[in-house]
Amino acid sequence: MTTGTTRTTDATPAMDPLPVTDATRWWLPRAELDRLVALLRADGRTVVGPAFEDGVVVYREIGSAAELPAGVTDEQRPGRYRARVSTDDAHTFGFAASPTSWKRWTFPPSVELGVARREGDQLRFETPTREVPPVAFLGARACDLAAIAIQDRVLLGGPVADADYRARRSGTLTIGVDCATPSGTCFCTSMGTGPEVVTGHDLALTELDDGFVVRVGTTTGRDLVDRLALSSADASQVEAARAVPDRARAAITRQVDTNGLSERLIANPEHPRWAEVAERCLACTSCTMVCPTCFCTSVSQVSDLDATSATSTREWDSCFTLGFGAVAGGNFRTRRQDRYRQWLTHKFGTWVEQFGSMGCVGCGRCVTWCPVGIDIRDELAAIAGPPPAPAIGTSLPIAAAHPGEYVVATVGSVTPETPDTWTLSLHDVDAAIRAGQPGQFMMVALPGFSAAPISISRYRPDGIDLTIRAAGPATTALTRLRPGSQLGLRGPLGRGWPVELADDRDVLIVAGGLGLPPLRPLIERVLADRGRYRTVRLVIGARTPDDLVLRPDIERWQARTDLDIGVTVDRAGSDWTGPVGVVTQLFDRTAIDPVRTIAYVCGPERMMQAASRTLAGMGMLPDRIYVSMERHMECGVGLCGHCQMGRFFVCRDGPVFSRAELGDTFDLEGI
Amino acid sequence: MDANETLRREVGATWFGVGLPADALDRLAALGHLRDVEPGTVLLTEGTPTPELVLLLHGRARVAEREPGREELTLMTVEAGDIVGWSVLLAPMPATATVTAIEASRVAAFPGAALRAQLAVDPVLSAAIHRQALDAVARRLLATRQQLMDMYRPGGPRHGGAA
Repeated sequence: MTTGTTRTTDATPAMDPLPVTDATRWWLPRAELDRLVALLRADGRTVVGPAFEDGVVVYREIGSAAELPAGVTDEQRPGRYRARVSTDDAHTFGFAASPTSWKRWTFPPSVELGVARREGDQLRFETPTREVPPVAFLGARACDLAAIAIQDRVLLGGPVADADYRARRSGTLTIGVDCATPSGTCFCTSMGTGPEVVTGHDLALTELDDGFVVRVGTTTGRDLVDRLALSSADASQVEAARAVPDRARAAITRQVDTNGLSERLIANPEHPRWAEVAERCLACTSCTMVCPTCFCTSVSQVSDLDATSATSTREWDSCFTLGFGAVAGGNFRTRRQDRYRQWLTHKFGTWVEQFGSMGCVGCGRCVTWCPVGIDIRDELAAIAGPPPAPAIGTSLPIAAAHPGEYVVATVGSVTPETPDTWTLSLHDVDAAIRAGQPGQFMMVALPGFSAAPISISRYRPDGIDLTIRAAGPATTALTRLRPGSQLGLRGPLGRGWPVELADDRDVLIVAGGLGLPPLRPLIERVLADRGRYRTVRLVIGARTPDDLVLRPDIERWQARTDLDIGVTVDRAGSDWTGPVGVVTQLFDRTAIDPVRTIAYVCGPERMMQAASRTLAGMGMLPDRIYVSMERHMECGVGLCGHCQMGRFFVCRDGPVFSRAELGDTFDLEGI
Repeated sequence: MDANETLRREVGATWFGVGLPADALDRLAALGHLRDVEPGTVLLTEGTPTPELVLLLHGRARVAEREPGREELTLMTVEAGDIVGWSVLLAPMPATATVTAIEASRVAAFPGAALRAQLAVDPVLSAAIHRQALDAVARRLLATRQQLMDMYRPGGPRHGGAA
């Protein structure tokens, strides 16, 4: 790890410091603590550590050891926090978890993502080059180091790494402190994260009355010890230090039974306790704001008054907010109990499969800072009882999402489909986008508007088509673009239709409403290589004949003899001579070979549920039925949390899933 | 092949007929007759006594209701293999909608009085016919529910919602 320099998001990440195995214990006299702070600052680091402000211990930049909260202790219980200055105890780290967590520096509450500029019809998307000064964390507890490790896995360990987080973490030096004073809300011993600092530190301190026993965790830490010219700790100091975490461990009396907890929790999606706890929960988001691992964010747009530029800013958000799971026309988690379930089942359940551990470190912040004193230890014990068979789907390989940056494309033509829906044919489209797969989607941006996830409705050699319904500000603005206008594209994103699984099979494609455009690239792929497949049946449903989109394509498909196509509408006048009724009636009495058929279904969720139930009733196995899910999407790469659906991020792991992968979550309300 | 055998064969090839025991199908076929109808032919009239149970063999028919001052509303269409006039089994229940062929169609028609008389003495045929009729009515009930739920209401940007 380098020191004394600034890092940028464009810089090559610095080499991680080498972990070292060193049994030597060093001694840092209390009076010398300030030398450590000064050395870190002399290296150009911002030193962040605890300080006592406004009645609480917070983590903030400190200039010297004198600003550390010597003598401060705290009392924490569900919904209660009291800190006080002790006159007979001068320990520097004699408190438990602070309402602040270190993610405030590694994953700040607000980060500028970029600026979109408009000059006439020309657009430019700029990604700022941020300078991230190196930071030293002084006084991180073991639970907090575990939280940083978890966020490392979330934000750096997936198919897409968060650039801002990577830059900040590459400049982080960490000095941990063994916990000596756990609070009444701590349960790190249950989560296996404390109280002793074991990993994730450059240096680790154990506080005794007159100083600190120091352990080295990395070569960077060794370098600090050398430069401080510390002497070895004597045997009595080492022995006393060993006893500190042991006493802390013994003081933590409330436990969470984590044995099989994920499975037990996921197996109880309909437990009455969800509704009961929702009666107490205020959905205030306090728990998620103080949580050191929660990472959900939203992007806001701020435009200049002359609308020539708009800045995108990523801000902390919470799955407890009503709008977090909302899309226009619906909200996937309207009930508070849905949002509480989402948080708890993610934290202790689906997080495991996504990131390799639970998302909780047992720091107790969410318990302390809940204004109504909801204690997740109680909720877990009440909800996660003895398990029935877990209702989860099959395992899913994570798609290799390619986020890219926003690139500009030009509108070639705008074709009206219905009174509120248009198809934009885009030219000058980046080759990587044109090489996308059927079923993938784009984040589509205009300055001043939220980016919208739009499925690609056609791949052309020179561009792509997007079919967009004008139902909100962003989509309305997009549909008002004229030939020659520019827009921003990011993608292609997500996992598309598994066309390869259709080889030598009967293919059934079911489209409802605007579910047809995301299926058109699949249909065209199948028809372009028709000989690879057996029977191909396409059924299309819409509200009324006027709501049918892609009509020229439908007419062309109807003229083919190698495609069995049916089009039905829910309501029609006397001039419509085609079928009237729901889309399932076009195939529920036909002979389908359930073993030989693969089905691709796309449309509003209610329609996909009806279609997949009908297909299941005809004997089709769930791993042969594919659906494309709709959720609130912002980042498109599984980092903002909006689109989480059970153990999946729909934008990254989907949007196309088999019914087997979705398992029971597909039919559960509020997921 | 006589008309009765033709009727039996054609009915037996439909969803409705496949669900009947062979001997029951024989007895049903003996009650009915085949009819080819032109587009526009009214098969049932809403509010009038239902004369016969009609099984559509080919073509398509519109099931519609009329309300004074409002254009006739097509509730659904029936396709080959489906039945109309199920109310004949609940006589004297009148037809609940007007059914009109909208394509050149071929139907098998079973007069209501004769059908009811046979079902009264033929428990095997009765059970099979009622089961198939219940299946058809249940399917329509489910479809109606889904239509009431406005199944195609946009759910999001990619499927037509707002952003």
